[in-house]
Amino acid sequence: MNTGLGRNEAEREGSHKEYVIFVGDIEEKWREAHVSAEKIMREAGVTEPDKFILEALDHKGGNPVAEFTSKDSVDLAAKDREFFRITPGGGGRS
Amino acid sequence: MSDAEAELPAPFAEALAYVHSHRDGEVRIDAVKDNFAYLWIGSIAKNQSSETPGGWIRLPLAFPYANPHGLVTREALRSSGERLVSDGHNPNHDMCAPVRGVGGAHYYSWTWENAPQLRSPQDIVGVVQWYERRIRLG
Repeated sequence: MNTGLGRNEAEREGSHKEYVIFVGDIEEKWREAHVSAEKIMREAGVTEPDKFILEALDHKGGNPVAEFTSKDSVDLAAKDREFFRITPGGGGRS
Repeated sequence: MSDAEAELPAPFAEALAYVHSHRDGEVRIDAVKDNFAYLWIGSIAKNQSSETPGGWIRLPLAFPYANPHGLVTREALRSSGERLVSDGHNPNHDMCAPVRGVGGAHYYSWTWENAPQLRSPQDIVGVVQWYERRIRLG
C-alpha cells in the first residue's frame, strides 16, 4: 500500500512515524520530526558537536544543500534531510 | 606509487590510503616542500558548474599531529554569487611554486585555527570536507 509518506519517513502501527537518516554510513532512527543537530551528531559518535557542522546532502555521498550548527534544529520531514555528513567547523587565515 | 609517496611517514600514508578509498576522483601527491605535501584531490567541489573541481591541499607530513595549511587551485575560486572568493586569496603566491608546473596558480592561506583537533589519519576525509565548506562559504 502506498502510504504517501516521504522516503525517510516510515509509519509503524498506525500513528507512530519514524524518520530514518544516514550520517555518513551510520543509520539513525528518530521518532520526532524536529531533532537538534547536536543530538544527531552525538548519536553518530561526535563528542564535541559544537566544534562540527552537520551538512545535509542532496543524496548519499552527494553535495551539501544545507548546514546546521549544534544549536540548530533539523526538520527531518523536509526535503533533502535523509543523508548527512559531519564536517569540522572553525578555521582562520594567515 | 611515486617516490614521494614511498617515503611518507606511516600515519600520513594511512591517511592517503584512506582518502583514496573514501573519495571519488584522483588523489595524489604532486610535490613536497618544507614538510608539507601538496595533495591533489580531484573531487574537491566548487561553487559554479563552470568551475573544474579539484585542488591541492597543503597537508603536513606530520598529519594528523600537525594541521593542514592552505589550498592551491588552478583557477581563482568563485563564490555562489559568481564573485571571486577573496578570503585569504593570494594569486601567484610563492606557495604555488611547487605545483606551478602542473597549473597551481592561486593560493588560499586558510588555517586550521579554531577547528577541532585532528586525532587520526581517517580525519583526512573531514579535512577535505572542511576545504569544500571554506570554498562554499566564499
